Amino acid sequence: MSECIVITSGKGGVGKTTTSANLGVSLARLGHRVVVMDADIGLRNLDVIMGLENRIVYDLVHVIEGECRLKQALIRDKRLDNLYLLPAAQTRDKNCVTPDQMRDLVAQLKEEFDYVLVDCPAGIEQGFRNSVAGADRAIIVTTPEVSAIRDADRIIGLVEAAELPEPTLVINRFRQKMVDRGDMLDKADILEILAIPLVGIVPDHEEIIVSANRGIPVAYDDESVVGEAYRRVARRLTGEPEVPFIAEQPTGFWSNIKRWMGMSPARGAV
Amino acid sequence: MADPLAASTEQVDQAEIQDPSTVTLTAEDGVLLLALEPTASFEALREAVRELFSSSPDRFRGKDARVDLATRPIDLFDLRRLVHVLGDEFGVTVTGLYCTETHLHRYAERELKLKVYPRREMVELPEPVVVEEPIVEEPVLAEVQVEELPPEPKAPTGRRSLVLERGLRSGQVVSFNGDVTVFGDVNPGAQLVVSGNIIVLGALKGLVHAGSEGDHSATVLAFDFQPNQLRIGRHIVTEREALHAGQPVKRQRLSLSSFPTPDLLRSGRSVPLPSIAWVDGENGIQIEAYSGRLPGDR
Repeated sequence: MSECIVITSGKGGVGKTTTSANLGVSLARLGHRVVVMDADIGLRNLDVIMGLENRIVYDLVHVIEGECRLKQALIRDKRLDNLYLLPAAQTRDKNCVTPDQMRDLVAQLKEEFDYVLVDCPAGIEQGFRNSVAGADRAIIVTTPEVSAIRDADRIIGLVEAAELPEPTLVINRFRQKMVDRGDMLDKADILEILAIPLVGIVPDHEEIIVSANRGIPVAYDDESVVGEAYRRVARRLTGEPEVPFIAEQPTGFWSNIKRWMGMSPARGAV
Repeated sequence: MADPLAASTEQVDQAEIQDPSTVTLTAEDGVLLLALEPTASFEALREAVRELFSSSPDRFRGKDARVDLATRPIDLFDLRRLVHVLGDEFGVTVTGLYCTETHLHRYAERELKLKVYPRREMVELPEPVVVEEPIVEEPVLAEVQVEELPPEPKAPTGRRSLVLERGLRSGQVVSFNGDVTVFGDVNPGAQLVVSGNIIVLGALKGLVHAGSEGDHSATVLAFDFQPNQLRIGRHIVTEREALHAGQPVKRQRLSLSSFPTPDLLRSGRSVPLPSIAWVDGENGIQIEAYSGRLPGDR
């Protein structure tokens, strides 16, 4: 049974594309056949994050306009044979695709893949409407900022209006230390407003920037806390029950000592 | 009309029966027409009707009648009594009403099931050219247009009410003429504009406007009262400090709204406290903990 999941946020820059790439990698590592589709036509990024930029010959618009077959446009990942990318066109814009065309495209992809992940562009206009058209459910990405939460709330309303089931939430760029100081909204504050199920908390870490620049999603790295956070999101998405959230890393004196002594496993603490 | 009675009425063999002062009874095509003198008191009219009909109680039984009030003001109860007197005592069914008092129209139509003719035009029609025309239509009634009544409000005697079974998210707007109850939260960025009262059974964090048509008696009640803007009638409050002047807020928790919950700020975490906002005359909008009754001297 295959499923199309749209990854959206409303606000730009909260990590939709990073989340799409890493969930794609994580789901593929769990053995599923996965395609990640970049729906951000005109401002494509997903290919860069996944390190597949140089391999693009055909893109989503070529497929929709019938200039190539779907299989010609799919790019296989460098490391995983069961992970594919369907890139966006860079030279066109969102209006050259209609929701009906996207629905057809997603239906074709679902015949081949277990998971179709759609990386939605920011905003609530045509690009958003195209992205949710074929989706079975939505993941909302937000950061612990008032503006991102406001936009996420708006998007949840629009997703519900599009008659998708209740979306789930990924909180990105979470910093426990700032929450402890009272400088960042806590998980509870965010859930109080958005009131949808949480499927992941992804800590903020500079290795995300490094991995994006190198084109190697962090979910490949078994030692990365951020990668582990994404892998756990993927496990929750596949229906695995009771995957614990990443424990808030203790940051006191003794836990630092333990980490130096190698007693605490993961590097890249929050 | 030329002798309307001759052809069609069997029982009414008199063209006109008239009580000296108050009631005129005529008949048109078998339908009685009861014209009431515009200046007489209702009691006098009723007695005159009784007298008129009781002279031969069964003579009109089973007939339909129309009552012509012309410009006479009459109250609803008197009209109802007149209809019942005719119906119960003399077996005359009142089916129509000529009346210029528009406030009576709806009542007469809905409650008494009368057909209402706004005015009875006593138009003198030209004599029909074709005299052989066998059936004389009822031109007076046929040509009087019943004026269009405004559509019925759903509950004409009460206020309208809307129950929202889920909360409002950012960007969602609800406007309503009446009172609104929300089962859920009104989130930041949502708008609720209502001509009456607003009750939020959840957290109120968006923009609400109660009494939007200028009703300053409107109130806003919420379990967790943190609107980013609050309007009642023409009053508006945007800053929490303006509402709680003189009440120092001990510690403000980092909040999504500029309105931390009024009191009970414990350990930086606010505890929701049901609160109510209302307009206190010149003092503008007041917000206080909801004590189980409407605030002020109401």
